[in-house]
Amino acid sequence: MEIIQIVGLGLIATILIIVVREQKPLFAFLLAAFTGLFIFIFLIGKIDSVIKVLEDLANRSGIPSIYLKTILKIIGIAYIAEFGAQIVRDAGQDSIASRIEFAGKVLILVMAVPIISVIVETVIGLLPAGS
Amino acid sequence: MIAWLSDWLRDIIAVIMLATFVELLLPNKSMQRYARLVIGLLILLTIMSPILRLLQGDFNAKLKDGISNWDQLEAKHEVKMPTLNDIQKKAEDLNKQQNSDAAALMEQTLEDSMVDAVVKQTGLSVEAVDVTLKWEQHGKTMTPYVNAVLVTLPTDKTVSASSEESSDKVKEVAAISVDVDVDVNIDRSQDEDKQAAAGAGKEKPDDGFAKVNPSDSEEIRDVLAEGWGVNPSKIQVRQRAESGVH
Repeated sequence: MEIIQIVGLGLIATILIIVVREQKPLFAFLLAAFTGLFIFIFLIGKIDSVIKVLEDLANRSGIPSIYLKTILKIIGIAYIAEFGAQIVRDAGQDSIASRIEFAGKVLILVMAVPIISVIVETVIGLLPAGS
Repeated sequence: MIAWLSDWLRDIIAVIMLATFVELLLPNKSMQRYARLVIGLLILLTIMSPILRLLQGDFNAKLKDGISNWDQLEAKHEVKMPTLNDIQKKAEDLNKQQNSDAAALMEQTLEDSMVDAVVKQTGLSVEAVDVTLKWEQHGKTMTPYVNAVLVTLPTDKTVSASSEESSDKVKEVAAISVDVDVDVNIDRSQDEDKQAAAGAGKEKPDDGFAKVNPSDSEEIRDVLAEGWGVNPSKIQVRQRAESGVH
Protein backbone atom coordinates (compact mmCIF):
# COMPACT_ATOMS: atom_id res chain seq x y z
CA MET A 1 0.00 0.00 0.00
CA GLU A 2 2.69 2.44 -0.91
CA ILE A 3 0.27 4.61 -2.81
CA ILE A 4 -1.51 5.53 0.43
CA GLN A 5 1.78 6.46 2.06
CA ILE A 6 2.81 8.58 -0.86
CA VAL A 7 -0.51 10.33 -1.22
CA GLY A 8 -0.61 10.96 2.52
CA LEU A 9 2.86 12.37 2.47
CA GLY A 10 1.93 14.58 -0.44
CA LEU A 11 -1.19 15.87 1.27
CA ILE A 12 0.61 16.62 4.52
CA ALA A 13 3.40 18.37 2.66
CA THR A 14 0.91 20.42 0.69
CA ILE A 15 -0.95 21.56 3.80
CA LEU A 16 2.28 22.44 5.56
CA ILE A 17 3.52 24.33 2.54
CA ILE A 18 0.29 26.34 2.36
CA VAL A 19 0.58 27.17 6.06
CA VAL A 20 4.23 28.12 5.91
CA ARG A 21 4.21 29.93 2.60
CA GLU A 22 2.78 33.14 4.03
CA GLN A 23 5.48 33.52 6.63
CA LYS A 24 8.53 31.87 5.07
CA PRO A 25 8.47 31.23 1.34
CA LEU A 26 11.95 29.77 1.51
CA PHE A 27 10.91 27.01 3.86
CA ALA A 28 7.90 26.26 1.72
CA PHE A 29 10.20 25.71 -1.22
CA LEU A 30 12.57 23.51 0.78
CA LEU A 31 9.67 21.43 1.98
CA ALA A 32 8.41 20.97 -1.54
CA ALA A 33 11.84 20.04 -2.82
CA PHE A 34 12.43 17.48 -0.11
CA THR A 35 9.03 15.94 -0.52
CA GLY A 36 9.64 15.56 -4.20
CA LEU A 37 13.07 14.06 -3.57
CA PHE A 38 11.68 11.60 -1.08
CA ILE A 39 8.95 10.37 -3.38
CA PHE A 40 11.38 10.11 -6.24
CA ILE A 41 13.84 8.01 -4.28
CA PHE A 42 11.02 5.94 -2.86
CA LEU A 43 9.81 5.07 -6.33
CA ILE A 44 13.20 4.54 -7.93
CA GLY A 45 13.33 1.21 -6.13
CA LYS A 46 10.01 0.21 -7.67
CA ILE A 47 11.18 0.97 -11.18
CA ASP A 48 13.80 -1.67 -10.59
CA SER A 49 11.23 -4.44 -11.08
CA VAL A 50 10.07 -2.96 -14.37
CA ILE A 51 13.63 -2.84 -15.58
CA LYS A 52 14.07 -6.47 -14.58
CA VAL A 53 11.09 -7.37 -16.76
CA LEU A 54 12.65 -5.50 -19.64
CA GLU A 55 15.95 -7.30 -19.16
CA ASP A 56 14.18 -10.61 -19.06
CA LEU A 57 12.39 -9.82 -22.27
CA ALA A 58 15.60 -8.80 -23.93
CA ASN A 59 17.43 -11.91 -22.82
CA ARG A 60 14.71 -14.25 -23.91
CA SER A 61 14.30 -12.79 -27.35
CA GLY A 62 17.99 -12.44 -27.97
CA ILE A 63 18.12 -8.78 -28.87
CA PRO A 64 21.64 -7.45 -28.59
CA SER A 65 22.38 -6.18 -25.09
CA ILE A 66 23.55 -2.91 -26.58
CA TYR A 67 19.99 -2.03 -27.49
CA LEU A 68 18.78 -2.55 -23.97
CA LYS A 69 21.71 -0.61 -22.57
CA THR A 70 20.96 2.34 -24.80
CA ILE A 71 17.29 2.29 -23.94
CA LEU A 72 17.94 2.12 -20.21
CA LYS A 73 20.36 4.97 -20.47
CA ILE A 74 17.73 7.02 -22.23
CA ILE A 75 15.20 6.30 -19.50
CA GLY A 76 17.68 7.22 -16.79
CA ILE A 77 18.67 10.48 -18.43
CA ALA A 78 15.03 11.40 -19.00
CA TYR A 79 14.09 10.75 -15.39
CA ILE A 80 16.97 12.58 -13.83
CA ALA A 81 16.69 15.58 -16.10
CA GLU A 82 12.95 15.76 -15.55
CA PHE A 83 13.28 15.56 -11.81
CA GLY A 84 15.94 18.22 -11.58
CA ALA A 85 14.06 20.50 -13.92
CA GLN A 86 10.90 20.24 -11.89
CA ILE A 87 12.59 21.09 -8.64
CA VAL A 88 14.19 24.11 -10.23
CA ARG A 89 10.87 25.08 -11.75
CA ASP A 90 9.25 24.88 -8.34
CA ALA A 91 11.74 27.42 -7.15
CA GLY A 92 10.56 29.72 -9.89
CA GLN A 93 13.60 29.48 -12.16
CA ASP A 94 11.93 28.50 -15.38
CA SER A 95 14.87 29.40 -17.56
CA ILE A 96 17.28 27.14 -15.71
CA ALA A 97 14.73 24.35 -15.75
CA SER A 98 14.42 24.56 -19.50
CA ARG A 99 18.22 24.44 -19.80
CA ILE A 100 18.29 21.26 -17.78
CA GLU A 101 15.69 19.73 -20.03
CA PHE A 102 17.67 20.82 -23.03
CA ALA A 103 20.75 19.13 -21.65
CA GLY A 104 18.74 15.94 -21.16
CA LYS A 105 17.55 16.05 -24.77
CA VAL A 106 21.04 16.57 -26.10
CA LEU A 107 22.38 13.67 -24.09
CA ILE A 108 19.61 11.43 -25.35
CA LEU A 109 20.46 12.37 -28.90
CA VAL A 110 24.11 11.63 -28.24
CA MET A 111 23.06 8.06 -27.47
CA ALA A 112 21.69 7.82 -30.98
CA VAL A 113 24.86 8.87 -32.75
CA PRO A 114 26.42 5.38 -33.13
CA ILE A 115 23.12 3.95 -34.33
CA ILE A 116 22.64 6.72 -36.84
CA SER A 117 26.16 6.29 -38.13
CA VAL A 118 25.62 2.58 -38.75
CA ILE A 119 22.39 3.24 -40.60
CA VAL A 120 23.89 6.01 -42.69
CA GLU A 121 26.83 3.82 -43.61
CA THR A 122 24.45 1.12 -44.75
CA VAL A 123 22.38 3.46 -46.81
CA ILE A 124 25.48 4.82 -48.49
CA GLY A 125 26.64 1.27 -49.09
CA LEU A 126 23.31 0.47 -50.72
CA LEU A 127 23.76 3.19 -53.30
CA PRO A 128 25.55 2.03 -56.41
CA ALA A 129 29.15 3.11 -56.31
CA GLY A 130 30.53 5.50 -58.89
CA SER A 131 27.25 7.06 -59.92
CA MET B 1 14.74 -20.60 -43.74
CA ILE B 2 11.68 -20.74 -41.54
CA ALA B 3 13.85 -20.76 -38.43
CA TRP B 4 15.75 -17.72 -39.62
CA LEU B 5 12.50 -15.93 -40.41
CA SER B 6 11.06 -16.71 -37.01
CA ASP B 7 14.24 -15.46 -35.36
CA TRP B 8 14.01 -12.23 -37.22
CA LEU B 9 10.34 -11.76 -36.40
CA ARG B 10 10.96 -12.52 -32.77
CA ASP B 11 13.66 -9.87 -32.66
CA ILE B 12 11.38 -7.28 -34.18
CA ILE B 13 8.52 -8.10 -31.84
CA ALA B 14 10.77 -7.98 -28.81
CA VAL B 15 12.19 -4.60 -29.75
CA ILE B 16 8.74 -3.17 -30.36
CA MET B 17 7.52 -4.45 -27.02
CA LEU B 18 10.56 -2.94 -25.39
CA ALA B 19 9.78 0.34 -27.08
CA THR B 20 6.22 0.38 -25.76
CA PHE B 21 7.43 -0.29 -22.24
CA VAL B 22 9.91 2.50 -22.51
CA GLU B 23 7.26 4.90 -23.77
CA LEU B 24 5.26 4.11 -20.69
CA LEU B 25 8.22 4.67 -18.47
CA LEU B 26 9.28 7.99 -19.87
CA PRO B 27 8.37 10.89 -17.62
CA ASN B 28 7.06 13.63 -19.86
CA LYS B 29 6.13 14.56 -23.37
CA SER B 30 9.10 16.68 -24.28
CA MET B 31 11.51 13.87 -23.53
CA GLN B 32 9.30 11.39 -25.28
CA ARG B 33 9.92 12.89 -28.68
CA TYR B 34 13.64 12.42 -28.45
CA ALA B 35 13.46 9.02 -26.89
CA ARG B 36 11.04 7.97 -29.58
CA LEU B 37 13.55 8.95 -32.22
CA VAL B 38 16.26 6.77 -30.72
CA ILE B 39 13.94 3.85 -30.19
CA GLY B 40 12.64 4.23 -33.72
CA LEU B 41 16.18 4.00 -34.98
CA LEU B 42 16.70 0.84 -32.97
CA ILE B 43 13.56 -0.71 -34.47
CA LEU B 44 14.72 0.31 -37.92
CA LEU B 45 18.06 -1.32 -37.26
CA THR B 46 16.37 -4.52 -36.19
CA ILE B 47 14.14 -4.63 -39.23
CA MET B 48 17.05 -3.93 -41.51
CA SER B 49 19.31 -6.43 -39.84
CA PRO B 50 19.14 -9.05 -42.65
CA ILE B 51 20.14 -6.46 -45.23
CA LEU B 52 22.83 -5.10 -42.99
CA ARG B 53 24.21 -8.54 -42.35
CA LEU B 54 24.21 -9.21 -46.06
CA LEU B 55 26.01 -5.99 -46.87
CA GLN B 56 28.58 -5.49 -44.18
CA GLY B 57 28.91 -8.62 -42.15
CA ASP B 58 28.63 -8.29 -38.43
CA PHE B 59 27.13 -4.88 -37.87
CA ASN B 60 26.46 -5.55 -34.19
CA ALA B 61 30.17 -5.59 -33.50
CA LYS B 62 30.47 -2.37 -35.44
CA LEU B 63 27.71 -0.79 -33.39
CA LYS B 64 29.35 -1.94 -30.20
CA ASP B 65 32.65 -0.50 -31.35
CA GLY B 66 31.00 2.79 -32.18
CA ILE B 67 29.32 3.06 -28.81
CA SER B 68 32.40 2.14 -26.83
CA ASN B 69 34.43 4.58 -28.91
CA TRP B 70 31.93 7.25 -28.11
CA ASP B 71 32.04 6.46 -24.42
CA GLN B 72 35.79 6.64 -24.39
CA LEU B 73 35.72 9.94 -26.18
CA GLU B 74 33.37 11.26 -23.54
CA ALA B 75 35.45 9.91 -20.70
CA LYS B 76 38.49 11.60 -22.14
CA HIS B 77 36.82 14.96 -22.02
CA GLU B 78 35.92 14.64 -18.38
CA VAL B 79 38.36 16.00 -15.86
CA LYS B 80 39.15 13.16 -13.58
CA MET B 81 39.60 13.84 -9.92
CA PRO B 82 41.79 11.25 -8.25
CA THR B 83 39.85 9.24 -5.74
CA LEU B 84 40.92 8.74 -2.16
CA ASN B 85 42.03 5.22 -3.00
CA ASP B 86 44.26 6.46 -5.78
CA ILE B 87 45.85 8.99 -3.49
CA GLN B 88 46.45 6.43 -0.80
CA LYS B 89 47.95 4.00 -3.28
CA LYS B 90 50.25 6.69 -4.56
CA ALA B 91 51.29 7.59 -1.03
CA GLU B 92 52.07 3.96 -0.33
CA ASP B 93 54.17 3.71 -3.44
CA LEU B 94 56.05 6.86 -2.57
CA ASN B 95 56.60 5.57 0.93
CA LYS B 96 58.01 2.33 -0.38
CA GLN B 97 60.30 4.17 -2.73
CA GLN B 98 61.51 6.41 0.05
CA ASN B 99 62.16 3.43 2.26
CA SER B 100 64.13 1.64 -0.39
CA ASP B 101 66.11 4.79 -1.13
CA ALA B 102 66.87 5.20 2.54
CA ALA B 103 67.89 1.57 2.76
CA ALA B 104 70.21 1.94 -0.20
CA LEU B 105 71.78 4.99 1.38
CA MET B 106 72.15 3.13 4.65
CA GLU B 107 73.80 0.22 2.89
CA GLN B 108 76.23 2.60 1.28
CA THR B 109 77.18 4.32 4.52
CA LEU B 110 77.41 1.02 6.36
CA GLU B 111 79.72 -0.34 3.71
CA ASP B 112 81.91 2.73 3.86
CA SER B 113 82.17 2.73 7.61
CA MET B 114 82.80 -1.02 7.69
CA VAL B 115 85.65 -0.65 5.24
CA ASP B 116 87.12 2.11 7.37
CA ALA B 117 86.82 0.14 10.55
CA VAL B 118 88.29 -3.04 9.12
CA VAL B 119 91.19 -1.19 7.58
CA LYS B 120 91.89 0.69 10.77
CA GLN B 121 91.53 -2.11 13.26
CA THR B 122 93.00 -5.04 11.38
CA GLY B 123 95.42 -3.33 9.08
CA LEU B 124 94.23 -5.39 6.14
CA SER B 125 93.36 -3.68 2.92
CA VAL B 126 89.79 -4.21 1.86
CA GLU B 127 88.58 -4.01 -1.69
CA ALA B 128 84.85 -3.90 -1.07
CA VAL B 129 82.21 -4.61 1.51
CA ASP B 130 78.79 -5.59 0.28
CA VAL B 131 75.98 -5.24 2.78
CA THR B 132 72.57 -6.75 2.12
CA LEU B 133 69.66 -5.43 4.12
CA LYS B 134 66.42 -7.20 4.74
CA TRP B 135 63.14 -5.82 5.97
CA GLU B 136 61.44 -6.96 9.08
CA GLN B 137 57.88 -6.30 10.09
CA HIS B 138 57.65 -4.43 13.37
CA GLY B 139 54.00 -3.87 13.99
CA LYS B 140 53.02 -1.48 11.25
CA THR B 141 56.38 -0.26 10.15
CA MET B 142 59.08 -2.14 8.33
CA THR B 143 62.54 -1.90 9.77
CA PRO B 144 65.69 -2.99 8.02
CA TYR B 145 68.31 -5.27 9.49
CA VAL B 146 71.64 -6.44 8.21
CA ASN B 147 71.11 -9.77 6.57
CA ALA B 148 74.48 -10.53 5.06
CA VAL B 149 77.89 -8.95 4.79
CA LEU B 150 80.30 -9.92 2.05
CA VAL B 151 83.87 -8.71 2.47
CA THR B 152 86.15 -8.89 -0.52
CA LEU B 153 89.85 -8.64 0.00
CA PRO B 154 92.15 -7.66 -2.83
CA THR B 155 94.80 -9.96 -4.20
CA ASP B 156 97.59 -10.23 -1.73
CA LYS B 157 100.52 -9.34 -3.91
CA THR B 158 103.03 -9.12 -1.15
CA VAL B 159 102.36 -12.70 -0.30
CA SER B 160 102.94 -13.90 -3.82
CA ALA B 161 106.04 -11.86 -4.06
CA SER B 162 107.50 -12.91 -0.77
CA SER B 163 106.39 -16.49 -0.90
CA GLU B 164 109.30 -17.36 -3.13
CA GLU B 165 111.84 -15.96 -0.72
CA SER B 166 110.55 -16.90 2.65
CA SER B 167 107.99 -19.50 3.36
CA ASP B 168 108.15 -19.31 7.06
CA LYS B 169 105.32 -16.86 7.42
CA VAL B 170 102.23 -18.41 8.80
CA LYS B 171 100.03 -16.21 6.72
CA GLU B 172 101.12 -17.54 3.40
CA VAL B 173 100.86 -21.11 4.42
CA ALA B 174 97.38 -20.58 5.59
CA ALA B 175 96.50 -18.71 2.43
CA ILE B 176 97.67 -21.56 0.31
CA SER B 177 96.35 -24.36 2.44
CA VAL B 178 92.89 -25.18 1.22
CA ASP B 179 89.67 -26.58 2.65
CA VAL B 180 90.04 -25.24 6.14
CA ASP B 181 87.98 -22.22 5.39
CA VAL B 182 85.18 -24.16 3.89
CA ASP B 183 84.87 -26.26 7.00
CA VAL B 184 84.89 -23.21 9.18
CA ASN B 185 82.29 -21.61 7.04
CA ILE B 186 79.96 -24.53 7.30
CA ASP B 187 80.44 -24.75 11.03
CA ARG B 188 79.68 -21.14 11.54
CA SER B 189 76.76 -20.88 9.27
CA GLN B 190 74.77 -23.80 10.39
CA ASP B 191 71.59 -21.86 10.02
CA GLU B 192 72.58 -20.89 6.53
CA ASP B 193 72.02 -24.05 4.62
CA LYS B 194 74.28 -25.88 2.28
CA GLN B 195 73.40 -23.50 -0.48
CA ALA B 196 75.84 -20.98 0.81
CA ALA B 197 78.54 -23.58 1.19
CA ALA B 198 77.85 -24.89 -2.26
CA GLY B 199 77.80 -21.40 -3.65
CA ALA B 200 81.05 -20.60 -1.94
CA GLY B 201 82.55 -23.79 -3.27
CA LYS B 202 81.41 -22.89 -6.75
CA GLU B 203 82.47 -19.32 -6.58
CA LYS B 204 86.06 -19.93 -5.90
CA PRO B 205 87.07 -21.69 -9.05
CA ASP B 206 84.70 -19.71 -11.26
CA ASP B 207 85.08 -16.15 -10.17
CA GLY B 208 88.67 -16.21 -9.22
CA PHE B 209 88.34 -15.92 -5.49
CA ALA B 210 90.90 -17.55 -3.34
CA LYS B 211 90.69 -18.84 0.20
CA VAL B 212 91.18 -16.33 2.90
CA ASN B 213 93.54 -16.72 5.72
CA PRO B 214 91.32 -17.99 8.56
CA SER B 215 92.88 -15.69 11.11
CA ASP B 216 92.24 -12.69 8.87
CA SER B 217 88.65 -13.57 8.31
CA GLU B 218 88.27 -14.24 12.00
CA GLU B 219 89.62 -10.81 12.75
CA ILE B 220 87.32 -9.13 10.28
CA ARG B 221 84.35 -11.02 11.64
CA ASP B 222 85.18 -9.93 15.15
CA VAL B 223 85.48 -6.31 14.15
CA LEU B 224 82.19 -6.30 12.32
CA ALA B 225 80.36 -8.25 14.99
CA GLU B 226 81.57 -5.90 17.67
CA GLY B 227 80.98 -2.70 15.80
CA TRP B 228 77.61 -3.40 14.24
CA GLY B 229 76.24 -6.38 16.08
CA VAL B 230 76.13 -8.48 12.97
CA ASN B 231 75.76 -12.19 13.45
CA PRO B 232 79.22 -13.60 12.60
CA SER B 233 77.64 -16.44 10.67
CA LYS B 234 76.26 -13.95 8.23
CA ILE B 235 79.63 -12.47 7.39
CA GLN B 236 81.42 -13.88 4.40
CA VAL B 237 85.00 -13.06 3.66
CA ARG B 238 86.63 -13.80 0.34
CA GLN B 239 89.76 -12.82 -1.45
CA ARG B 240 90.58 -12.27 -5.05
CA ALA B 241 92.77 -14.99 -6.44
CA GLU B 242 96.23 -13.96 -7.57
CA SER B 243 95.76 -15.39 -11.01
CA GLY B 244 92.24 -14.10 -11.23
CA VAL B 245 90.77 -11.98 -13.92
CA HIS B 246 92.01 -8.83 -12.25
